[in-house]
Amino acid sequence: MLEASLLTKDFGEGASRVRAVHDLSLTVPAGEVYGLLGANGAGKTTTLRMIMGLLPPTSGEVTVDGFRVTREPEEVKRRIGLVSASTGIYQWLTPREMLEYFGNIYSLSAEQISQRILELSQLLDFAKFLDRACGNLSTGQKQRINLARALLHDPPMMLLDEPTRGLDILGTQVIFEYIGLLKSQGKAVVLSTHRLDEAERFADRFGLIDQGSLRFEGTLSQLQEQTGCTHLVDMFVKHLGKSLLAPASDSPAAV
Amino acid sequence: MAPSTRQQSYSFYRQLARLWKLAQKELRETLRDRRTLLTLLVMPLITYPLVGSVLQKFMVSGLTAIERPVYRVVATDLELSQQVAAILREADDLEESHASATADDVADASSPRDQSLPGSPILNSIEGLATKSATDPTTSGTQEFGENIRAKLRPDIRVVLPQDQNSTLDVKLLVEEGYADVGIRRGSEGRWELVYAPQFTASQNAHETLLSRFKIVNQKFVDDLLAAQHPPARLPAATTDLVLKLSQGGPLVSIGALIPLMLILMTITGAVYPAIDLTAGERERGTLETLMAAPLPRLEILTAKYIAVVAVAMLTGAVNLFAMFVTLSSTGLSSTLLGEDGITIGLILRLAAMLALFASFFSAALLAITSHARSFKEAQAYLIPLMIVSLAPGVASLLPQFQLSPTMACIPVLNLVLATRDVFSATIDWSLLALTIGTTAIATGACLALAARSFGGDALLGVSQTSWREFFQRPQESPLLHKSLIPPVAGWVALLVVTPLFIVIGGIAGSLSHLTLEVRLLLNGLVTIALFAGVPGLMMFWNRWPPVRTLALQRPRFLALLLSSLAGLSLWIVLLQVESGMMSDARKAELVKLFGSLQIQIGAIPLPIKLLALAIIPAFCEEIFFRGLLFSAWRRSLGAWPTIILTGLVFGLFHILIRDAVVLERFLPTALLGILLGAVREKTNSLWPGILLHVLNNGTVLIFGQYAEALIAWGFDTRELKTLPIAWWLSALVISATSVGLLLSIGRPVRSAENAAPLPQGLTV
Repeated sequence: MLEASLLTKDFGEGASRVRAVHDLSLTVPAGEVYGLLGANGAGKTTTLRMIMGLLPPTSGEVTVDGFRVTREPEEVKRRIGLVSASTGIYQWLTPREMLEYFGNIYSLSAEQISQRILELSQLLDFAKFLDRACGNLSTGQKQRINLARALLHDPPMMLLDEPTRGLDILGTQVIFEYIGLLKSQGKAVVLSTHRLDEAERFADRFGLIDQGSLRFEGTLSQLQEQTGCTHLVDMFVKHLGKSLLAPASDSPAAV
Repeated sequence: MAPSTRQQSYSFYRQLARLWKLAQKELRETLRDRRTLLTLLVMPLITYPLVGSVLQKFMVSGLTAIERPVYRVVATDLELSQQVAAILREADDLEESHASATADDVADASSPRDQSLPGSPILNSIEGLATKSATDPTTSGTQEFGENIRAKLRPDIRVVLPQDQNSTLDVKLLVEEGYADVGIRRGSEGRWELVYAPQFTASQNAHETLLSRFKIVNQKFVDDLLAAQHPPARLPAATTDLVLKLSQGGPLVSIGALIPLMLILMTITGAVYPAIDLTAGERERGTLETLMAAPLPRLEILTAKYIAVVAVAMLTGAVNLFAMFVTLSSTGLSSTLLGEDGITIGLILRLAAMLALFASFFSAALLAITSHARSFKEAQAYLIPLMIVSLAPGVASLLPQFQLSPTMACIPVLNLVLATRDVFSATIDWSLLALTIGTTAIATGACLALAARSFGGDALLGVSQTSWREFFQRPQESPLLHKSLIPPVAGWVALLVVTPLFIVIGGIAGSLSHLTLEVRLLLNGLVTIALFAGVPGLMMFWNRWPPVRTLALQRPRFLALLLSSLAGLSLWIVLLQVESGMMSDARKAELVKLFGSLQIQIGAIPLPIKLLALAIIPAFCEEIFFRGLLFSAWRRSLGAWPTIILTGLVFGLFHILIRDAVVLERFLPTALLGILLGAVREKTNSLWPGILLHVLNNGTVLIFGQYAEALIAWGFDTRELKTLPIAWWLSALVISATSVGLLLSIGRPVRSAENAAPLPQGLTV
């Protein structure tokens, strides 16, 4: 489903050039959850943005479902659903109106849109507040709307960029259920996170990214073999510890 | 399912339908926001009636405060007093009957029968005092209002009677002492002698009023005498007045000149909030990324937003106009402002059409600006320059020397303003209006494309840059040490500070004509230093920007200096030719007249002083300001060529404001010079070659001016702005083109750190 090969992204030019991602390659087949792990500022978000076509890579290529992001970015975007912790919603619209808006953006027909809204509102349990203004919803309710928004066009591939950041236990639980749902639907999922517990729980395979490069990649048992550590946390501390302590030393400042 | 397969090519109709759905969302979002409704819709509905009624109260009370003037006339004795009083009463009666006669006459004026009035009563020719006005029998409230004013202002003459019936008064003394305004005594040959003191306004006015009233009675007497002749005789030059009543009416204030300014204010106030909310607001809400992740061209997203902004701007304009019209007609001010017809369907249609044009352009312009902004506050800060820039053309419509011409019709905003004025004064040239609409459409499209380019661009996602507030805090250490650059807003701030000062000081300088030219030249030099070098200097000091980096004072290549000297020595001839080519002979003569005496005066000043004040100081300071500070501020965010062109245009604009005259012809040559100097700064990465070029360019003109007499002998008359000999102009063109061409191609001496991109701070990696 997803193939990224030798992705490189430089910011700036000349003396102040910074290489945020360096020759990063990864493959995610349908039905697999891929955990992209790394400290803040390691290059996770930049990688996801290149996959989505939001940032043009300096070199390398991404194909999603056979479409190349540099050639047909819109076809790639059409096949990806994005969930990010920082995503907001339109406070003056109702969830229904907001979902209809995104349905139009993704060129769904009116019937498709109402059908999907019905399905998702039952699946994610927000039918009760479908016609209330988004501004009046609670954080958890807003989160459900956003999860529905990412799934509205039924993309075969999902990108989850630190989806649990800033959420409480219940909110995190909703995300966990959501990932389970995606997995059951056979979607290819890239889960970018620094929360190792959630990665360990869901991901089929992992990629450990540090200073823009993929340092280790494989299933948990492969990683354990490669690193000699049992838990992801130990792998981090042992192999990526230096950059954990000084993540912004020569990479762009982290948020 | 459908979205997962490749999309069939979307039909045009479906695309439009989708665009409309997208626009609906933007409209919903904006119109549901109570702040929008409050500021855009409710405010005008409240403020106009309020302001209108206050204005009306003010006008009415202001007028009642004007007292009807009363003049005191005194005659030597009772008999004479009674005679004068009788004459004045007759004059009053005649005036009254004449006023109504004129009114009938005017009411009938439209029928051709009365176009020639040979037999009409000569009475009509006696034009009364203030009764020239057309008094429509069906007077509206406002006209009644106007009539009342006139009736109020008609002076009253009171004949003061002596207390003692038999005494004889010394009227001369009474006028001298101020007890009466005019005295009347018997003179020779049965005439009355009017005694008055012209140094007193009241006495002077009373004398005039008295004379005009007597004249009415005398005229009646003459007319009666002539009419009594057989056959009735007539005065050799008897006249009547036909007061034309045109359909346009004659409004007291030319509304056509005010409408553009109103429309600019209305559309900008209407569009500002949605433009910011739908662009910068999208980012603040965190919805921008999901939009960018959608398979939709940015231009389409932007177009949907644009439709919403235009709709809100038009709605605001409509509400404003509605509130204004209601206010005007309910306060009776409408015919005062709009002419006798008041509010008509035609007026409303024209207003709607022009409102649509203004709204469509300004919405796009606002979006182009707000799309760059990263936050609401930043967007608001960016819009201040646009507001100032937009109001200036609005004021231009008040100046009669600005006329819609083919050139003007190609200048955005200004063309709309002038076309609007012409549309409302019914003098519009339709082909120019079409050109205006075409230019506006192109400018609108360009703004939208610009907005789409920057909206959600990768630089905006997660990259925080200098905000407005940070700009006013003095940093602890030089920010440039950490590779961040001078913020673009610094350029705008510098312009906002320098431009008004430049204009005000220029105005003050014009009033210092008592000083010698030499002193004025030196003062001018000091002002130049203070504004163009002082302001950048203060900004650099405050922000701890290192001058060498900020102003690009790096050492250039020797070759660059050599080539810029060559260019400086030859370029001025080319520029002079450009300037001269733009002017008609009449305009040249006018300019020679305007500046001729100045030039003769300048000729008497020692050359070193002239060089210092007009070449060296301006060249250094202007380069520091335009190619130094402004260039560095805008270079990174705008890119090389837009910065070169923008600084060049600003440079040109500054040069058309000379003292109290505006010399538009100087714009093109100076803007060209500015663009060239910008290109030199960019290509050599140093300010020095530009300074050298500028000094030599100005200096050579001065030196040649000094020896103008000798030059004239060579057939080269710089003073008269005549076309130069072809040989001069061609060789100058070749030399300057070659040297400039080489200058721009030799490249930078060293790859400077300034050129390297800053680290995108705060970018999540």
